[in-house]
Amino acid sequence: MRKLKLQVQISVDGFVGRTNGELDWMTWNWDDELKNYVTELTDSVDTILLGRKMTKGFVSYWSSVKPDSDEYEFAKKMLEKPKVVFTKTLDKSAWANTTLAKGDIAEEVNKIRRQNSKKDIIVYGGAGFVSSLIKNNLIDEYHLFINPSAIGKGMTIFGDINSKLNLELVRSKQFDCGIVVNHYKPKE
Amino acid sequence: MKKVILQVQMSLDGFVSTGPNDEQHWVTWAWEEIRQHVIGLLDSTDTILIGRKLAVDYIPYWEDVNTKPDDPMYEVAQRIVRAKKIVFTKTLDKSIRNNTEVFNGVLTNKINELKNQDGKDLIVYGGTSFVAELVKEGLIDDYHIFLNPVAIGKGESIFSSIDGFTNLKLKESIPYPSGIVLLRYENINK
Repeated sequence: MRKLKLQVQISVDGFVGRTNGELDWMTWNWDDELKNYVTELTDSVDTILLGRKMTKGFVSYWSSVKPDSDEYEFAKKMLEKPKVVFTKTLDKSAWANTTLAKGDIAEEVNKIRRQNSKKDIIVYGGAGFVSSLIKNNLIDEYHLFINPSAIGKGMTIFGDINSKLNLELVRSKQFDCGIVVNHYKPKE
Repeated sequence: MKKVILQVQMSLDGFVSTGPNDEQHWVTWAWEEIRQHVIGLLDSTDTILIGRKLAVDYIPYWEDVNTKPDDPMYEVAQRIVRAKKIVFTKTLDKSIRNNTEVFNGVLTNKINELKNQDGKDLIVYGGTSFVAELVKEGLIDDYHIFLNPVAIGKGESIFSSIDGFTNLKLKESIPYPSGIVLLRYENINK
């Protein structure tokens, strides 16, 4: 069965976003090694899961990247890869390469996991959607990009868990730009 | 100038404690792995800063372990008992313990005075609200965070009082076999 991977930027104090969505706390000057880590992760997947609320911003951001930008190759991948938008409200998708998942979150994810493909599935956000995935124990790989900053309050992805969630560290790597990527999997 | 060093156990979701009566059952017990680092920090310091709420249990606890040479934490107890302890309080006004001073004035003034004295660095372990005050005032110079491979959903944070956000400088990160990752940061907003 295909794996569902989470890639998310997180602060030292465990938040994935500031209260009003400001992006000023994140490290943006990624070194080449970190870029390679992300490229590898991106190339290992062929499906992106998205929460409905962040889809519009996600698609319009990557659509606006110009061909001369450093981000262009990545943007193209984000736009070209099939995306599944999880929603309870939308009836049809307004975006290219995008389908809707309207049913129970666990059933929908398992349906995608069972699809016949050598590549895996990835999710980047948003916070509420990822919280539901974690609560339902649907994440197979956690790639937490720990940014060198603390933000005091904000959005979390672990707020919905009922008791504690034990993970197993697969790999931890420190990057020159100050980000530490911790790769965890659910503890058996 | 001397440094204030913070050593703390933290969950993946940024909590250092589940609440006022935290038993730290969520903390990964891997003493043999982190021992060298913890002892090294104790040996690089000679003064422990401590909040009153933690002090009332913490100091008697280590005094007790210090009477038990067979206890695996005996070497820690020896160092903690030997160190000078400064208890920061708004209510207590005199010391009842050995090597312990009680302070109830302005935090920043006292820390800056201590940092300008001769001797080894200063270390702080807790409690949570005291550390949160030090963090807010920008008084922690070095962060040694043992990041545990567990999320606990809710609890108390040492960063909850900061205004806006604070950037830190990564010094190093060390993964341990148990899944703990030591994150070492330096304060750059002094």
